[in-house]
Amino acid sequence: MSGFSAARLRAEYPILNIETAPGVALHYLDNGATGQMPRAVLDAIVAHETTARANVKRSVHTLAERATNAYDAARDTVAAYLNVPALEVVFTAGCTAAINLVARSHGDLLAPGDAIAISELEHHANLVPWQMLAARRGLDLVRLPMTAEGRLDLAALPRLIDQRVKLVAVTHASNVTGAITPVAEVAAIARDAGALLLVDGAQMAPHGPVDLPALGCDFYVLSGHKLGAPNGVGARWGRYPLLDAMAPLMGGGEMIRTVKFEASTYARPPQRFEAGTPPIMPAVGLGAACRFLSAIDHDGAMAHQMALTGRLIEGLMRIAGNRLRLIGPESLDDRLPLVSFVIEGTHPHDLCQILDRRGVALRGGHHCAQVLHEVFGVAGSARASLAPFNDEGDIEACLAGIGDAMKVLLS
Amino acid sequence: MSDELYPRDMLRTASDIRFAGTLPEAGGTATLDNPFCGDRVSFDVTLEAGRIKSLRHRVKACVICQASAALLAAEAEGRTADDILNLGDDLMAGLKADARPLLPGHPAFDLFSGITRHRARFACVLLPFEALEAATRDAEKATS
Ligand SMILES: Cc1ncc(COP(=O)(O)O)c(C=O)c1O
Repeated sequence: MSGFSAARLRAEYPILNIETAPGVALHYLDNGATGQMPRAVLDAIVAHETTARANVKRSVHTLAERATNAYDAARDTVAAYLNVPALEVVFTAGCTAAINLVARSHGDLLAPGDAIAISELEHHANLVPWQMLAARRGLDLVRLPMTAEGRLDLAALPRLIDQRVKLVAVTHASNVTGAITPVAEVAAIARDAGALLLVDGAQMAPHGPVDLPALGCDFYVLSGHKLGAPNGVGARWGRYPLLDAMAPLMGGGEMIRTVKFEASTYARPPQRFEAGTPPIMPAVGLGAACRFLSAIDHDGAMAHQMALTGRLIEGLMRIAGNRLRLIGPESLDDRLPLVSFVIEGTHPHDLCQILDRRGVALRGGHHCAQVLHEVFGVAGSARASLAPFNDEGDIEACLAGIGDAMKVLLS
Repeated sequence: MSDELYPRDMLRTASDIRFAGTLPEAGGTATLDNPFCGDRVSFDVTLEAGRIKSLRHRVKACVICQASAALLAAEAEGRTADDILNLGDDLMAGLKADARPLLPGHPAFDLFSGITRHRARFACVLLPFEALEAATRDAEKATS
C-alpha cells in the first residue's frame, strides 16, 4: 500500500469545506478547468504580499531584493518541476499566452509553403494560434487524426508528418478524452521529419512533475491555475538555442539590453520574452504549487484516482445504460482521471445544472475542443475531471446527481 | 417529476416541433452558435412588407434553448427584425431583474422564471432571439 491518503490531502484545501448552499457540501470534479488552491499556495501568496511586495529587477531596497529573489526562485522551482534549466523557462500569462508566444515568435521564422501539424484533439488554445499563423505566413495546416476512442492515431503520423512539416503541436493529455499522448514516440517521428514538437501540458502538468528531457519535445507549455496557482501565470519551456533565435513578441521594460531612440537590442532569454512587470505574486504561487505537487506520492495518487475513475465509468454505465456515450476510452490505461460523456436525450448543460444542486461541479459544453466533438458527432459533453483530493463521496454524489438529472430531463 | 428550473411545461414546450424544419422558399436564413457550449440555432424566414410571414427553426441545444425557440417561433409572425431585437432586450432585462412577467405582454415566457438566478443560462434563452433577428435582417437585405 502506498502512503497516499486522500483524506489527509483534502484537509490541505480550505475550499473543500464550503457549502454551495445550506447543507450542501462541495464535490469539486472540475479540476481540468481550474485546480483548487492548497493552503501552502495561499500561505506563500500571503507571505509574499505581506513581506516582499515590490517590483522586480528595478530597485535595490530590501523589499525589491526579496521580490526579485522570490521571482527567480519561482523560476528555479518550475524548472526543477520540469527537469530543465531555469534559463529555458519563460513566465507567461498562461498556457494560451505561451502558445501564442511560440506561434508568433517562432512562427515568424517559418516560410510560406511550410506546414504545421496539429491534432484533432487540441484545445482551441493549441489550434487557433496556429490557424492565425498559417494565415499570416502562408503556411499549411496538417490535421493529425485521432482513433475512434479519442487517442492520437500514432499509425497515421509518419505519413502525415513529412518534410514540409516544420512544427508539430499536440497535447500531452486531452482535456476531453483524457487520453495521454505517447510524446516520446511523437517526438521521434517529428525528429525524423526534421520538425520541432510543441507539447501542450495544460492537463498533464497538474498531475505531477514532468521529465521534459525524457519526452524529447522542443517546447512545453502550462497554465498555473490548473496546478492550483493563481490565475495570470503560466510557463513556456523551450530549448535554449530555439529561444535565442526567436524575436520577442512584446517590447517594453525588462526585455531590453540597450535602448536608443531609433532602436534597441534585446535581453537574452528568458527576460527577452518577459516585457513589463511580470506576474510576480502569481509566479511565486506557481512555485509554491510546484513544490506542493512534487511532495505528493504520485503513484499512490494516480492509483487512487484511477480507482475512482473506474467507479465513475461503471456507475455511469449502470445508471444510463445504453443512453451512455463515453467521449474517450473506456479503459483505464494511459489516461488521466477524467471522463467525458453524453447521456442521450439530455444536454450537458442541463445535466450539469441539476448536478450543481448536490454541490457537484462538472463542466458541460465543448470544452474549447469543437473539432474533437465534431469528430465524435456531438456538440458537447459533460466532463468529470478528478484531482488527488477527490474521494468516493464525490463520485457517489455525482452518480446520484446524474440519476436526478435523468429523472427530471427524461420524464 | 416536477422541477423548479425544468418544469414539465418546459420539457413539453421544448419538444413542440410545430415550427421545426426548413423553409424551402426562405427569404432569409441565419445560424448562430453559443460560443460557450457550441449549441446551435438556425432560423429560416419569409417576410411580407418587412414583417415575418412564416418561419422554421432547427435547434441543437439544451432544453432551455429549445423551449425558447419554440415559444419565440409561436409569437413571431407579423414582427420585424427590430421587434425581435427589442423583445430579446426586454427579456434580458426581465431575467436580470427577476421580473414578473419576465416579458411584458408575453406570459408564456414565465416558463423561464426558474433561471433568473443562473446568469450563465441567460444566453440559452436569448440565442433564438439573436438567430431569428439575424435571419430576418438577412431577408430584409435580400428584398431591399
Ligand atoms: C489542453 C488545454 N490546453 C490549453 C488550455 C488553455 O489554458 P488557459 O486558458 O489557462 O490559457 C487548456 C485549458 O482549458 C487546456 O485544457
